[in-house]
Amino acid sequence: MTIDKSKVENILKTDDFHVNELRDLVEQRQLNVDKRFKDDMIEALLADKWTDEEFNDLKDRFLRIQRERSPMGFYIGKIEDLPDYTDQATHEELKETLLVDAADRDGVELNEEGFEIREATKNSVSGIYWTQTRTYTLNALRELTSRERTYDIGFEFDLEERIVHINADNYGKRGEILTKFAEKGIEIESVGPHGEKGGNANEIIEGFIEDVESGLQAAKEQQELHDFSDGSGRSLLQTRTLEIKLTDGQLKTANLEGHQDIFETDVVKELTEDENGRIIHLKGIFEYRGEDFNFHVGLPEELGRIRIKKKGAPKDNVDLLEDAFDFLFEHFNEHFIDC
Amino acid sequence: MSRDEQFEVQYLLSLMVVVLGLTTSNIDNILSQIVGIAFLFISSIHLLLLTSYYSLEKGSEMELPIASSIRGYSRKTLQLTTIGFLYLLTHTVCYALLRRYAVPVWGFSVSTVKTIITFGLPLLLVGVMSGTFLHKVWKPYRVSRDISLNIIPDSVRLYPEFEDSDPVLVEILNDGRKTYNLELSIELPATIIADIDRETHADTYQKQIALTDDREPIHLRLRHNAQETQKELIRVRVEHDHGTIEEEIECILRP
Repeated sequence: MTIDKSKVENILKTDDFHVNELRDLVEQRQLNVDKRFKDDMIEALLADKWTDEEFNDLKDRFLRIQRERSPMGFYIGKIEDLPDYTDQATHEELKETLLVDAADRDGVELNEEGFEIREATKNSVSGIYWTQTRTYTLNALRELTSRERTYDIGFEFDLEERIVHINADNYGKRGEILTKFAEKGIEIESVGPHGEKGGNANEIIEGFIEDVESGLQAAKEQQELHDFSDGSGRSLLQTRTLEIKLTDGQLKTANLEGHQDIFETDVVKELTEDENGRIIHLKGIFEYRGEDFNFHVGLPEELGRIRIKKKGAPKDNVDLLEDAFDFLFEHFNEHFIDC
Repeated sequence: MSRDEQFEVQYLLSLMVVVLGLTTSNIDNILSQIVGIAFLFISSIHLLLLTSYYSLEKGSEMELPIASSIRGYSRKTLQLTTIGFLYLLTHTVCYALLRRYAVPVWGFSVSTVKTIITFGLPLLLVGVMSGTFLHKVWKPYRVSRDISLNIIPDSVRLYPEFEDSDPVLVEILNDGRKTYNLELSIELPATIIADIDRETHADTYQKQIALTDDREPIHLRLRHNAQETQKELIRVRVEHDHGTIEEEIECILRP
């Protein structure tokens, strides 16, 4: 039985569907087409026959690609204070405090904003905060319409390490959950060099970069013992964008060429030394065990941030993405949380 | 154009010493007095302009409009002096040859022929010489001064997808007021594919550009088909009537 081609087309034409996967499919089906061009390959694949089973395989493949190519990361803060009014265990009391504002959901409908707890154990309390906003937009006939939009923000309290992760792609909503926490007596403090440590913030960041770089080098050398890949001497960490906050609150961006020590460049020297600026965002690329990842490490006053995204072809290896994240987070933890 | 005024003054002084030396001796044997005086006149004006510009420049920190207009005039008189000197030299040669050989051997005395050889022939020679100079040296020089090719950045990391790879800006710049017809070609290696203005290109991308006092930006989005990490070069070439400018983009291809 053949299936509806438009469904296949929808998947193949998504930006997330990687060109290497298209080439794989074309090779499997032995189609005669120029494998350099994405459009030609999609056309040839659509002209071919698709069975139900093949379509299901395609969906699986797409899911795997997305899992590997989607960014991974969260906002992060230190737990400064938790509610402690009863004799209950900390996680129990935290759960109950949050559930005073329990979300009321009815399938996809959200009746009342609030918290939903997924897990509450001795070391960890995690869940989702549901919230809604009325937004005003123009509809297709250019009339003003209002829509309810629902946001979900993931959170996880690590009670052992006393840190909290917040998963939100919306900047404003991230602030909303912090306010909710504060109302309930949960105090969250930012990570990274602030306050008294703010004076040598840039040295702490320099130390972080050096450690990450030597860690990457070690991981590469370990891998090369059983895999003789190219040792072309490329630097494994390239910082490409720095955001520097000056003492008057201004935020300056420095875009850098990859192959240099960022602390030696004129623009960074001027902003950090002459103008007393403090580095609060680092963005760039690092190479971990042969694969490249984009990274973003943020240390603003509110919440810290760490995020990575795999570059290049999917290798059907989600573990590597997670390992790379753990690697970076370990250093983040050491320099900015335990500092 | 960067000029060394001190050098120019020295050069002119030495020329004048020669010419003045010639005028005091038995000059009629070597060149016609009219040509010598005319040359002296031109070079004196040039020297005058140059010294006044030089003193204005040294005497004031400010950029005076009069100084820059004098500088502009002195550029023209420099060209005139150079051409004048060229004429003087060729004239001297023709004049001397005519006196030494033509008169005694053939017994020439027809004045019009004499005038043509001593004054007309040098004019023709100088015309041909400055024409050749203008075409072979000056025009290519001016193009290379006006047209420049910038590539930012000149080293990129490429991946199999456009969105992962670093974008590149190729920019052709014309600083002059003249219009140039240029041909841009971007030679892509077999493994690299470019997206320019939402069109996909493999092999070589070519574009004809007419540029007047402006910049022509070309935004490249790149991806590759290589299976392993490797390096490649993309050659960017701008061709014009008088030559070529070539730059390279170093690419690191990552699977």
